Amino acid sequence: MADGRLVTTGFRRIYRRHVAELLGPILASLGMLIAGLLIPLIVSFLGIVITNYTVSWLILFAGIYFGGVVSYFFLEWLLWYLDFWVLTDRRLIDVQLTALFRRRVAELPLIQVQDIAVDQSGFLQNVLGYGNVKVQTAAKEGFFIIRAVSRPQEVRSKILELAAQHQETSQKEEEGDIPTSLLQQREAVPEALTRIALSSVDMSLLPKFSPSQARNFRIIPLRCEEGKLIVASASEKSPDDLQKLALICGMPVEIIPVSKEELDQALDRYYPLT
Amino acid sequence: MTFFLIILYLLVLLALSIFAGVLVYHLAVYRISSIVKLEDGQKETAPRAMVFYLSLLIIIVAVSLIASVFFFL
Repeated sequence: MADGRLVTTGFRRIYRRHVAELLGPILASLGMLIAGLLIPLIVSFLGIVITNYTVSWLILFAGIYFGGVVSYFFLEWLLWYLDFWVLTDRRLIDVQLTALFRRRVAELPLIQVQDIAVDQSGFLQNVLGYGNVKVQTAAKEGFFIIRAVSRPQEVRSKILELAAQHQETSQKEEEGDIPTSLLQQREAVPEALTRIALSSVDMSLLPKFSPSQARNFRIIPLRCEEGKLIVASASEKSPDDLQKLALICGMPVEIIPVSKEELDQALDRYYPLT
Repeated sequence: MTFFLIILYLLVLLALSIFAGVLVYHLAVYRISSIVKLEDGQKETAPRAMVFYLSLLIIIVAVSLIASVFFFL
């Protein structure tokens, strides 16, 4: 929090409500626009005679009306955009703009996470794959809700994974054996384990990445597990890189740490330079 | 009557401008990067949205103003 912000370093991912939550305001704005456009038609249909003088005033107020519709939609978008949740390797932060000039920021240390439930109810939530993630905590407030988030099951898994990692790190720190960052933990992976990981490469997965992509990201695909692609890498990947990898291979990607030397050998073997 | 309409128009325009100002203020103050430092290459949508909204608003009001003058003449 060196520069006044709650989170400046470490893993951080921002979640916000699904875009479908904006469907109501979109329809309302469209309705208001159509209603505004229908007024001249209704006037001409009723045969009301209006002068140029009246028309010029009507146009002036129509400008204000359409400006108001645009402003209404922008307000709804703003309330949607400024409601978000930040998941870091140590905590979950809930930032809510409940009304104009009313903002609530709450923090939950991951160590307090007890249980996580996913709730997808209604036609839209099930069809579009979004829902609420309810995080049960040991804190006084009881629970924390991430509302209408996309892929709630993935969010749940990520929170549980980070909570477990955080708990493990805290225990190690307490014992005095201090691999303080995830990267340090990963560098401490036993050599035998990395060999096992790289010897189990599923050859059918290699075409998922071109040699240049594999070398660029410095990864080797190992296997598919529960709809995820497990890849070996010698360094931690940023959320942005993970997203790019997921886009390339068409499924979520999980990283297994290996040593740099092992990875270089595997890249030469499976993705040789032509 | 014309005087009354001008005053009414100006008042409504003022209210709309104040509302727009409040929205823009929110985007400027409550943006995500005030809570969390964004990753390299990650950008906020807020500044672009703000420019888009203000441009749209100005265009709508300006076009209606020009069109009304055209009809009045």
